[in-house]
Amino acid sequence: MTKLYPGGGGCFDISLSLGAGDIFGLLGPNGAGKSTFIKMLVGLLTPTSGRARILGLPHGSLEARRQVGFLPENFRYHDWMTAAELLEFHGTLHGLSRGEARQRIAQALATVGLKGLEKRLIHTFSKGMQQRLGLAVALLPRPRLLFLDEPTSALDPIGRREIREIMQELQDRGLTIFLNSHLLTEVEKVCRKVAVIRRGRIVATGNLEELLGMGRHHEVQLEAGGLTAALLQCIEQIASVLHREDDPAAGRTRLRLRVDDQDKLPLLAETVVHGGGRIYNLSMAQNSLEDLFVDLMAGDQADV
Amino acid sequence: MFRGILVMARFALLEVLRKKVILAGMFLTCVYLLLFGLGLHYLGENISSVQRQLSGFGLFSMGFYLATFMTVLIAGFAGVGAISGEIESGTAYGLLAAPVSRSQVLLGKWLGYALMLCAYAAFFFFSLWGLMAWQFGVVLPGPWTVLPLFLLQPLIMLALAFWGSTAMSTLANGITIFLLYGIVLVAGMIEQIGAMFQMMNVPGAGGAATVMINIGIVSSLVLPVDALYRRAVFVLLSNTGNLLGSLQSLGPFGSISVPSQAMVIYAWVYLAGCLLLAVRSFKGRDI
Repeated sequence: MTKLYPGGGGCFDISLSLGAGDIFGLLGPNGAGKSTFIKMLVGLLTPTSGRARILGLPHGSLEARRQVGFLPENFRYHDWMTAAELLEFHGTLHGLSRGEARQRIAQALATVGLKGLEKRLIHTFSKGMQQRLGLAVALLPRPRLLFLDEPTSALDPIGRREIREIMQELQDRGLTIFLNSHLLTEVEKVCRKVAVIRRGRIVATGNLEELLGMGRHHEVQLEAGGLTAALLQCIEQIASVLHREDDPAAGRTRLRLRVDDQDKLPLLAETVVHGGGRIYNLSMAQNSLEDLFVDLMAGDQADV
Repeated sequence: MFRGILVMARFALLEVLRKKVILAGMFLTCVYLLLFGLGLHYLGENISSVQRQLSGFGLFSMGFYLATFMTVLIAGFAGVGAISGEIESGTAYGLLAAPVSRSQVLLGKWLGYALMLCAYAAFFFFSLWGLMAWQFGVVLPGPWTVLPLFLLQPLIMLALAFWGSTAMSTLANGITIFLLYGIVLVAGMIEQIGAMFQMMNVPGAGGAATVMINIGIVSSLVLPVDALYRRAVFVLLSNTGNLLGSLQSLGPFGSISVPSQAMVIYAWVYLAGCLLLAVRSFKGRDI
């Protein structure tokens, strides 16, 4: 799908597919086109070109919207209503009977931790509570697919953790979640599949684990004693030495190495031991999503 | 289709009630009616019957004009941010992603506001009419003919404001429709003066009178609110059976140039057209 705004920007040729039950993360800096994409999917924006099918239904259609829940970014709800009135209103928009809506309201409020606050006016809610209420609205129709656009951006760390826990609980119930976020840790913690968007274009997509290993070298920390010049030469044939630090008092050398394959680790250990070295530490440094993100956004710092 | 409209209409009515719009509006309207009633009540003292008749009908035509003005103004205020306000505040995102079409949202909100305005306008009109009968002793003719004309004015303004609200910001829409209304009111006055020149055969003013009348007609085509008022006031004052009452229809708030029935039909078409254009514009708008 493509959306071109008159003043420039938007998103271009986005092509994604989600599996049922996944939590999919669309990651990108502010202004990258994440919200534009999600708004097209729920029918708030008309794409310039392209189309999508949501649960087999045309995107933006009333039938598709009956099956999805949506928590928008920077949303507000009519704050002259009580929490129960807002949920009942959205329930009627989804065609629920009054009795059915009441039952679901209680469940949705319990899920997001707002049980007992049904009769409170929304304008008395804190930002975090309003965010949870938004999530309750999105969950009310018992959607099969949930779109969350920056669901934790306005929350403190505790609030973020709570929303993450709710997302994981929903996934356990079989719900498919499409998460838009610029918060790397959040995506890293809850998503198995991600796509990274930069300046409106997808620059990487796939399983998180695959992406983190995608075309990248692995860093290894080695701390050993008895590393002779000959042994170091052998090590350099297996891995590139990025940094070397000698500790003459302890008789140890700390090396930061780079290997192109995880399978070289046993070979490295074998070489050191057979060469008479003593290994105190040999560990693989984990590649983080942050590293990947920074790599993908390289040359685009102005946007980040 | 209708279910969605009714859900939105109920929502709009609830919003009006909760925001205490009716309470504030009704309180000040009652103050206005009290003043109007007191004016009529004290007209009778120490003046001749002719003076009393002239003043009473004069007071009514002015009171009726201002009642129309206020009702139309309230309709404008209700409508200017009906859609743009939802978008600007961020409430539209959750609402429009729900399984309800944009036409249902727009028509439902319009219906809710329209019901509120009709109830308010009907109360206002019958209060003025009743006060004339009670405090002045004159039962004005044709209230049931006038009522639709009186109600149609705020409904048209509301529909126009809704249309503007789908395409412009609340501020821009407000400025546009209130200036437009002001222009139409002035054009209506010019038309009445032109008609007076024509009626009185003012020497040398024939050409000017025709132009002045045409200004009013064109402005009525742009926004047929003042034309409806002129027709309503004509029905109320020209058939009173009282010469002084009929004379009052010649004043600035009266109706010398009476809009035809075709203009009333045009006003209904105009209302429907505004709503259709509003729906079309809203459907194509990116949120």
